[in-house]
This record gives sequence, C-alpha cells and structure tokens, in this order.
Amino acid sequence: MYLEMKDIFKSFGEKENRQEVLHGITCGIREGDICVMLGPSGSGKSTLLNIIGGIEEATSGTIKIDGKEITGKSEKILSKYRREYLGYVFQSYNLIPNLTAKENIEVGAYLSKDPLPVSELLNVLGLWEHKDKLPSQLSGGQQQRIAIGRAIAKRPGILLCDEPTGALDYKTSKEILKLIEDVNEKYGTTVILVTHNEALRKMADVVLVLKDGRIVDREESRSKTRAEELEW
Amino acid sequence: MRNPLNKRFFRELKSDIGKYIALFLFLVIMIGAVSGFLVADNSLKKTYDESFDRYNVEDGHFILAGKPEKSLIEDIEKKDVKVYKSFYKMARSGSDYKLKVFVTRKAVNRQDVLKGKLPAKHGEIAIDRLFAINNKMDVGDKIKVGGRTLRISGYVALSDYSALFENNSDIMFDAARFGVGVASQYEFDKIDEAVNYQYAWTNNRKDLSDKERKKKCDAITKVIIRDRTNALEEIIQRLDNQAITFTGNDMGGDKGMFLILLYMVIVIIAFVFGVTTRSTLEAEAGAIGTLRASGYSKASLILHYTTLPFAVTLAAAAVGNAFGYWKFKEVMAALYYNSYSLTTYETLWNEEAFVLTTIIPAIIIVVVVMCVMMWTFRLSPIKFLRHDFRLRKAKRAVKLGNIPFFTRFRIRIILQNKVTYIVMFIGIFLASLLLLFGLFLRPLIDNYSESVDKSLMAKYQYVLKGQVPVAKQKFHLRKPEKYALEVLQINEKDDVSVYGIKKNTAYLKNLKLADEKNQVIATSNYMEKYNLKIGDSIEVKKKYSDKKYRFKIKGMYKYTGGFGIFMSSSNFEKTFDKEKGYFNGYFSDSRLKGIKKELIATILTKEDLNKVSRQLADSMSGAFNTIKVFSVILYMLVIYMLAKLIVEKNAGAISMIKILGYTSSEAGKLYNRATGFVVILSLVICGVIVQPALKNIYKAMVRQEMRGWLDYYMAPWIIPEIMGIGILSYFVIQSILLMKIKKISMAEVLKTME
Repeated sequence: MYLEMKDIFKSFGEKENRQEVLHGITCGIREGDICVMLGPSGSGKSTLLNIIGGIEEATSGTIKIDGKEITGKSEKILSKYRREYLGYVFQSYNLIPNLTAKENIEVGAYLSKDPLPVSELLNVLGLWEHKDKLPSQLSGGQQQRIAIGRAIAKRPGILLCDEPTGALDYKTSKEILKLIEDVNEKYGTTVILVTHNEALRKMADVVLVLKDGRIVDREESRSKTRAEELEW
Repeated sequence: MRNPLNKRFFRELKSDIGKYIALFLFLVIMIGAVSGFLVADNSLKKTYDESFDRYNVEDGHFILAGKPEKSLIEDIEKKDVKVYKSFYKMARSGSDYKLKVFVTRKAVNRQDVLKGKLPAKHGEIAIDRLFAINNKMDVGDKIKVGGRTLRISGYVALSDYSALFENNSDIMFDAARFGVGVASQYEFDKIDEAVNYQYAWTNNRKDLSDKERKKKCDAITKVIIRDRTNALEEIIQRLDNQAITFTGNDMGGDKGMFLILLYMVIVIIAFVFGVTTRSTLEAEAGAIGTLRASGYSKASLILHYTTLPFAVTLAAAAVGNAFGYWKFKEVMAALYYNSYSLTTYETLWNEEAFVLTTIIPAIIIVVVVMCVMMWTFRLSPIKFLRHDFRLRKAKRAVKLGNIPFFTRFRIRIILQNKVTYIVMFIGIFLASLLLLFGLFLRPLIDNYSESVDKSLMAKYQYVLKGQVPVAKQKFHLRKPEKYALEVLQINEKDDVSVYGIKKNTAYLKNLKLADEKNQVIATSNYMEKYNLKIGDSIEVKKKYSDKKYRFKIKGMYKYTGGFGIFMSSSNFEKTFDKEKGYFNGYFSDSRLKGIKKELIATILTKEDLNKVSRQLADSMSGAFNTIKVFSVILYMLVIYMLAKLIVEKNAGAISMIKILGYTSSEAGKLYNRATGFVVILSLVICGVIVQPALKNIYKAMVRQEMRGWLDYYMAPWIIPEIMGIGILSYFVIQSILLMKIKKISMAEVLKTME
C-alpha cells in the first residue's frame, strides 16, 4: 500500500470535555487510486484528511506513506513530508489574495526541484488568459482550478481534496471533478477526496464510508464512471 | 435592553491584551511625564511668583564701601522705600568654593528651611541646598568658614538667591563654586572675613511699573552719591538681579518641547489604534455585514468600535495624570531643583495641564479612529458580507515581470499592506525624530562650547563701569583695544550688546564696519534667531525707557556668544550721544593691570562662556537619556504593533503555505522580510528627511521659547546611530514575530477561513 493507516485515534479536549473523533481507523490506499471518503458531518473524515496531511496530529496510531512513517515527527520533518508528497485542495480555495493566478501556482511549484511547468499547467487548467488576475477577480470555479494547479505543480504523490466542489455550482463542480480525474490519470497522482456527495463514489477506485469516527464500509470499485458522466 | 455588543469590550480587551497593555503603558508614561512636568512647572512658577511677598524679597540692594551714617539711610527711606541691613562676609575654601554668609534673615529676603533647621546654637550654619549637594555636604557635617569650623544645621533656600550668581554680571552661575548661607549674629561676627555693607530696600508701594521702579533705583543712587561719605560699590534693582530673576525667566521654557513630544507620540498611537481597529473590522467583516443587514445602524457600530480605543486612552490619561501629580511631578520638579535653589513648593491643580494631556490626546485618538471607521463604514452591508473592502472595482494586479518569485511575493505583501506600511513609516519617522531629539542636544551643546571658544572676541573682554585707563605694561601680542558698549532690549526675552568699535580693529577679524550712521553689522546668531537678512532694519529699545533705536543691517559677523551689533566708534558716539573717544571696555590678550576691581563690571573669558554650556548640559543630561530610552521603546512598539498586524492579517495565507510544505522560517522570510525591507527603507528615507524636519522644529522652538540662540548642529554619527538602533530594534522584533508565525496553527486557521 502506498498509504497505510493503522489504529488512528483522535480526540479533542480534556477530561470531561474530551471528545473522541476517530476511533481506531485502519486502512490502506494504493498508489494512483482515487479514494472517495464519504460520511455525514462530524463523522471525522476531514480530521482524518488533516492527519494524513500532517496538519493535525493523531492521538495515537501510525501513518506510513511510501513506507515512511510520519506520525510523531517534528514540525520540520512534517514540512518536508508535505513538501514532497502532498498537495491540498480545500472547499474555500485558500488562495493567497495578493498573488496573481500564476503566482499562486508558483507558490506550489517553488517547493519542488522538478515542478510541472507553470505555463503548461495554466493551459491545462484553462487559466492562461487569467494568469495575471488576482483571485478576487476570478469566479469560484477558476479559483478552485488555481488551487488544484498550486497543489499539483510540485508533482505530489497524493492530492488531498476536502470538499473541493462544496462551494461550486453543478456545472463547475463537474468540471473540477474532471480536472481532478485528469490529474490522477495524467500524473498518476493518488487522490483522496472527502465529500458529502454520494454520487462521487462512482468515480472512485476505493470508497471509504465513515460514521462516528469509524470506517463502516469499504468498497472497491470495479467499473468507474467518468466524472463528466456523473449526475446528482 | 442594553446593547449586547457591549459585552464584547472586555473580551476584546482580553483577546488582545498585549497590544492594549503596551499602548496603555505608553500613554500612561507619556501623559504622566508631560502632566507631571506641567504641574511641577506651574506649581513652581506660582510658588516662585508668590515668594516675593511670602519671603519679602527686596526690590533692590546696594553695597557701600563702609558703614554709613544713620542719616543716609533715613534720607534714602524718604524716597518712599524701607531699607534693611543685609551685611555679608565672603568666606573662601582654598580654590574650591566661596560661601557668602549672612545673618539669619528675619525681615527681608527670608530663607526657607528645606532640611534640618536654622542655626540656633553657636558653631552652626545653614547653607544653600544645591551648593551643599554639589559639594557633598550633609546636615550635621562640619565645614570651615572664615577660620571657624561650623556644623551644618540645615539646608536652606534664600529667596534672593534662587540662581547662585556670584556676581550679577556673570554670564552664568556656578552652584558648585559659589554658595550662600546664614548664621547667627554671634557666628557672623566671629567669621574672620571683612564685612560687606549691603543694604536691601523694598518699595512701600507695591504696584509700581518697571519704569517707576527704575526711577526709584536712580533716585536712591543719587542720594548715596550726593552723600559722599561712602563710595557706592554696587546698586542693583531686583529686575536686573540675575540671582532673583534668572529662575523665573527660565521657567516654562520647556513647555513647548514637552507638548510637541506628547502630541507626536499621541499621533503615532492614534494611527496604531486606527490601523488595528480597521484590521478588526476586516476580520469581523462577515459579522458586521450581518449586523448591518439585520438593522444595526452605521453610527451604533462606529460608536462600538471607537469605544475601546477611547476608553483605553481615557483610562491611560486618568492613570497618567494621577502618576503625574503623584510621582512624575517630583521627577520633573527635580529638573528645576537640580539647577536652582528654590523654596518649598506647593502642588497646585492645573486645569491647563488636564486639557493639554487628557482632553486633547483623547480628541486626537477619537478623531483618527472615527475617521478610519467612517471611511470603512461607507461600504454597503453586502460588501462586508463579501469581505470586499474596496470602494471601486478591483484593479488589475500590478505586473512585476520576471523577477525572482520570493521577491515578487514580498512586493505583493507590501502592496497589499501599503496602508499599514505607510502608518509604520509615519511611526518610524516620528520615533526617529524623537530619538534624534534625544541624541542631538548634547553634541549641539558641546559644539556650542567649541564654537564659543573659536568666536571669542578677545581672550579677556573687560566691561568697565567708567572710562578707566590701563597702567603701562608690556604686551606680547596685540595691544588692548578700547570699545564702547551699550546693552539694549530686542524684546522681553532678549538683549543685544551694541558695540562701538575702532575701524580696522585688530580683534574682530574681517569685520568691515559701515560708514553711514545707523548702519551696523549684526552677529550671525542674532540674525539667525530673528530671521534677519542683510538690508533689513531692526528696532531695539533702551531698558526701562521708551527710547528706541533703528539700525540697518549692512553685514554679518560670525559669532556664537551673546547677541551683538557692531558700529564704528564715531557712529556709536553719535547714536548714543557720547563724547568723542568714549569707551567703557577693553579687548585684550592678557589680564590688564592697574584697573581697580570696583571699576570692573565684568571680565568675559572663555571659562565664563563655557559655564553656559556646562550648566545646560548638567541640567538636561537626565532628560536626554530619558528621551533616548523612550524613543527606542517607541520604535519597537510601533514596528512590533504593525508588523504583528501584518502577520495576523495574513495568518490564513501563512497557514496555507505551511500546509503546502513551507517551513515557518520560510514563511518568516516572506512576511517578515517584506516588513524588514519597509523598515530599512523607512529608516533610510527618514535618515534623509528627519534632519531638515528637526532643524525646522528646533529653530521654531528656540525662536518661540528660549532666550538667546544655540546654533543648530548635527553630529555626523547621529543619523547612522539612529538607523543602527532602528535596524537592531527590528531584528529583536523579527525574532518575536517568527515565534508568532511558528505558532500559527494550520488546522485552526483553516477552520476560520472562508
């Protein structure tokens, strides 16, 4: 397995305020797969994603990526890990407001010794004409494209997407999903996609369903549906 | 129902307690110091003014060569004055000091006991407090006075010696070398020194004008001269007695400087409040938009966001004023007590200080914060909901070409935060100005001291009481040269010495005197202070008279001592109606023999002129150091507050780049270095513009507030030192900010981002 999680526990607060969010998650994801994590609000899917991303620490358990363990490591090592392996896409884009579209992608590219050519990415993302615009001058869909561009510019092994279409309309959502699918196919990037949208399970290689901090269902897909054919 | 938003005040205060404590303390110190100064200054001035009645201070005194007949005193008293015996003996302690001893005063020029008690027993003396401290003498110590060993029974302040001038003609007093004291009649008689027959007088009518007082003095002089039994050695009316008037003239002179410093700091703090409150509005834009959409009025929200800065300022002003009256007043009064022999003062309520240090600062801060609020609240609720703070449509991003990515990133940070950086620049400018103020005065005084040495008219400048010839003696260098002198009044503050000089004088180099009547050469310091140019006309007046003189300036003579104007001897004689060959002074390279001491009004030497700078430096060195420390703290406060604001504003972006894999130190390099670049650029720009700004402020202040003139001088090391201090301050702050960046949690910030 490219990504291995074993007995991941996570709790917030202390003593009587202690709240268990993850209760011993154990699973693995193959390299190049699209993994869709489903579950209702509060099921722990975003927390699990953040732990995989190294921006939150598990209370206990281990995570290995490409055979390397990342749990219990210092902030410096975690930074290196994120730099080498991860790309992050959020529902709210989180672009740097004072940088242009091109510069936001460069923020990602800068971190890699062998980044994807930024100009090529701008073309692939359909943003060439908008490269000199600030995020505030762009639509939600365009901003999310930049966020994806920024995430993949450094050729990460894993692309973590937290509700990437949550703030977008139907048509734009499909365009973004197609883009994620294209990235997966073109660059072989492993994709972990957290969503509420049940329809997205059809585009996954593997589906994890979480409820109350536990994986209640794991489903391997034999026939995937192309993103542009999804309907909901 | 009370406005529920009010519940936020305490929480907001708690959430940003560091910022509010720093601003609060800074305001407390500044307001406290200025309020303390104004209260001390006002209380001391009133105490000083009232001391004339309280201690029955003389209207003048005269010294006779011998003890007069009773009839002379009676004749003088017929001039509607009361005469009091005020004999003294001058005791010397080797070359260390001179002590003028009087009998304990009961009727005139009474003394105030500041420590210990008046001499009651034999073998006791009470001496001036400042003189005692300068010579490390304490109550109970024994000192030698005129061959007797006396125990110091107490510290006193003599009401006619608030400034310890040994001779009235001295340019400056020296409270270490000359002091006064009082002893019992028994001890006075035992002191083995000659008696000086000094008498003080007070006018029976207290409401006389200056002119009438002068007339009274002239009338007494005539009576004494007519009597012919005793030579008149000295007669000085109170208005001309530096030992009495110097202190009063100096009081209040620093008020302008203190107020300028206060308002500079208040403006900086007002901007810091403005920028930080605006930043709060940006952070809470969504909630504000919702409140506006729900019916909260603009005014109520403006009031809400202005309340905290206003409350903090008022609280700081209240605490500052309390400290001012309680502690700082003592510190500020000590500035005067370190220079002058003042009687005990009573603290008086000063409503002007309250207005200047409380009302005006509060108004400045409220106006600045209000303006920022009103400008921001011009936006519609929907703009707040969208976090869109632009009034116009979004502009295109500035094209930055192919410069390296990190540089571009930093330029974008600077462009995004330009308003904050502009405020930072203003803050750095004002802090630099303040620091410059603290650093430049000492070298300026030293420079004055040096330039006085260089511009001395002669090694010895004799001012005589009449036309006294010099005994024959050998002169190695130049022969002594006669001159005529008349002192006229420019205004209430400044006098000018008018010199009648021999043409082709050997003493004043390159002085080209004009031939025409009323055409003069003026000294450079006089022209500088009064903004005079060659060709201008000046009008000066005779003291205690309505007689005025008008002169036209034909040239300038570089001189840094007292104000002077020069004309040819013949012009002088015509102007002042003197006989041909009139003179009352000598320029000389050596001491002159054969001139009786009592005929010499004064001898001006390098040492006399240096006393002025020494006294200035001694009395102000404490203030210089305080300003320095205060400015460095201000530097750090301004840079820290605003740099912190930039980090806080960009917490989301910093968090995001950390998620992408940037380390905290890389994030620091982006955000802190952008600020560092602005700080260094600001310091460089300020290094260039702060000097002319200070020069203008200094000149305006000296013209407005001070007597005389000290040439503006900036030591070459000061600007680099200021830049060094600024850069060092920034590096200290940068390391604090890096810790702040390290603390920015990735997960937490992501949750709050929209």
